[in-house]
Amino acid sequence: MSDRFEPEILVLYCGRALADHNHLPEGTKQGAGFKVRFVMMPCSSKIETRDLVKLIEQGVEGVLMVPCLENKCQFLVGNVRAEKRMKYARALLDEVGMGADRLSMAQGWNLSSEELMALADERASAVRPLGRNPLKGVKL
Amino acid sequence: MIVAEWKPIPEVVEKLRGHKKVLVVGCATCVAECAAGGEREVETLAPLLRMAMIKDSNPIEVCTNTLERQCEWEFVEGLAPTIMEVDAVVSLACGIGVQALAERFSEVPIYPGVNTTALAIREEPGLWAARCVACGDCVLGETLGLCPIARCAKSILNGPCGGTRDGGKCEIDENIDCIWHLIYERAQARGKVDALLEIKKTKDWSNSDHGGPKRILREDLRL
Ligand code: SF4
Ligand code: SF4
Repeated sequence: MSDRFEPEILVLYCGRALADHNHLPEGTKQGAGFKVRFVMMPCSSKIETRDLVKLIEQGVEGVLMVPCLENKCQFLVGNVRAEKRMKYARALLDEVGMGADRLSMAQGWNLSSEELMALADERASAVRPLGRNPLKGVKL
Repeated sequence: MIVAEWKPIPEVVEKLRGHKKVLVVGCATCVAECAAGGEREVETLAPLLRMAMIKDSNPIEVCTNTLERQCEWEFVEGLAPTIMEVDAVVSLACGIGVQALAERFSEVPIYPGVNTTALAIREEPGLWAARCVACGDCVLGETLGLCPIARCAKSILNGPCGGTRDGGKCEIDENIDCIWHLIYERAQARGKVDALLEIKKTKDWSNSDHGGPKRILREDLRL
């Protein structure tokens, strides 16, 4: 059995970013060289800085937030807020030496589930050089 | 409100080296309002400290608590059982809250997680600005409700200083209003410009920190 490092990616997507509300079932899926979980959110602004930080603390290698497009937010500025929190959380992760790139964001609209999977694949490629999350498996 | 800002995390981490179990304590009053030390910030800092300490090869256990007010003994007392179980505390309260914990639990090191920086108001979401420095001899009655002590870089009582920029901004920072410009504008709107020319009585600074550590004694409230 290969022990090749397969980053675990969490995709938090705004329900409006996907075409026809075609939500992906929750649960871990196997991608090409990575594992991914998709979680639908009613709005990307529901995720706070502390949530982003905690997700990394809990051991995932990378988080991708997929808000809907600017000007399409049902709460008008939810995705703008999410973007600012993401920027702040990235700076905090950098400050503690975990690497800002474990967190990132890509706006989406009318995405198919395949396109969302492709975004997760991109994220996995970006976090692979950061290596395993040192918090993985650590009992807190 | 009393406004504080997070210390750089590495500064806090430095203090925690050698400790095994740490309590991060917030305060749900002023520092929660200014997004520095409320429950949200406590629950953000705790995982960051755990991660930083693991990266630093000094893993620690971090538990959390947020008191309603860290500057009142009744609330501080509620921490007594938890304090017994930790070997250090990081407080996200203002300097008053930190000192209250350090006084009540003098056997445990209490480290500040924030720098207390001002008595300020939230001008806009995400923007706080100083309004008072507790000078002990309030002049707002003569300055139409605008404080030249806290809001003028030179704390002058007979401004403006002559350095006011075009547009009424302070010479030290183009984003800060010249408070004397605002005082003048408000006086003009109220037809009170002449009152600004009156000679003011000398300000008594002895009731501020210039007079040594402040104590307020109210016999009517004492037992
Ligand atoms: S004059 Fe003194 S007490 Fe009054 S607002 Fe200004 S600093 Fe505070
Ligand atoms: S420009 Fe106005 S606020 Fe700034 S130092 Fe001079 S008087 Fe004070």
